Amino acid sequence: MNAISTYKDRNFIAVIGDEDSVTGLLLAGVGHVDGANKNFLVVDSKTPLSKIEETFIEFTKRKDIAIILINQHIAEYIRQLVDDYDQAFPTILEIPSKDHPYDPEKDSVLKRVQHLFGE
Amino acid sequence: MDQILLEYLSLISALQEQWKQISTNLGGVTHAKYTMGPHRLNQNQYDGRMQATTRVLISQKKDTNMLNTPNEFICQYTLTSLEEISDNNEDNDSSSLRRRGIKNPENDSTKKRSQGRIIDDPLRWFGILVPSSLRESQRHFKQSLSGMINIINLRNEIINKEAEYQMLKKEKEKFMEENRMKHANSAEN
Repeated sequence: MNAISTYKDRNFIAVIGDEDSVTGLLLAGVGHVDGANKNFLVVDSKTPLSKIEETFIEFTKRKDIAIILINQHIAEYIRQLVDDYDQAFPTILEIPSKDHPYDPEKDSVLKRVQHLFGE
Repeated sequence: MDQILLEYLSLISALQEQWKQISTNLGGVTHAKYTMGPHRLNQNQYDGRMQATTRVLISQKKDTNMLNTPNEFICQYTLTSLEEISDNNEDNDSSSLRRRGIKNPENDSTKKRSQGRIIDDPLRWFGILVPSSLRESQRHFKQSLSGMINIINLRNEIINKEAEYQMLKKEKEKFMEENRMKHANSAEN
């Protein structure tokens, strides 16, 4: 029962990204505001690193978030935090943006493939 | 083992294909911003009362492999809508209300939902008449979101398949080691 309760109430998709990525995903209907709690963060050149870290940690602790989408180039700013993350929920997915296309070199799943065949 | 490797590589290929599709869909908002002007399409236009109409359901599906890999179940993510989730919740509530013999105020909630549908479209935040590029961009991002969910599901299957392969590899190595020792013993004798 415990295992089910850890994911049953997780319905939201959170986003940490540049304005265009966040706007696009909000247009797709994922945005949610509940009082002071939002499930997204727009990162621009003025966003302090501490804010990104704080928001990432906050999203990982919330019990209602199933997935955190984060632009790959923004994940680089908090690489240590993202790499050290080992919870089953919420799951993290690094996504490309218009200015930072998908880079297979940085894809953690493809790195596992290299590791597997490297053996 | 070869079969598992083939399945594994097929999953990787599907993953890469999905990423390619997502990457082509991400430029629309920038183009719409160019058409509308950045003052009309930015985070200041977001509705401060927004409610997520696109959500996710997590379920667990039994892994079909015959080995006892550590993860017997694979997590499955499915995109869903707020309406589907509240329908499920209302069904649970209404059945318990009926059992108590109380009238179910279904009509009110259905009426509120149909009115809410018009207001809920985030396109409305950016004006009554929005350019087709923004509508197109919304459509593309919805497709991309669906692709992202597929990627998460594929990723879970890949990790599971990898675990299956590693287990088989260890069993094979153990078997070969046992065989080597048997031959070594019989050669001595």
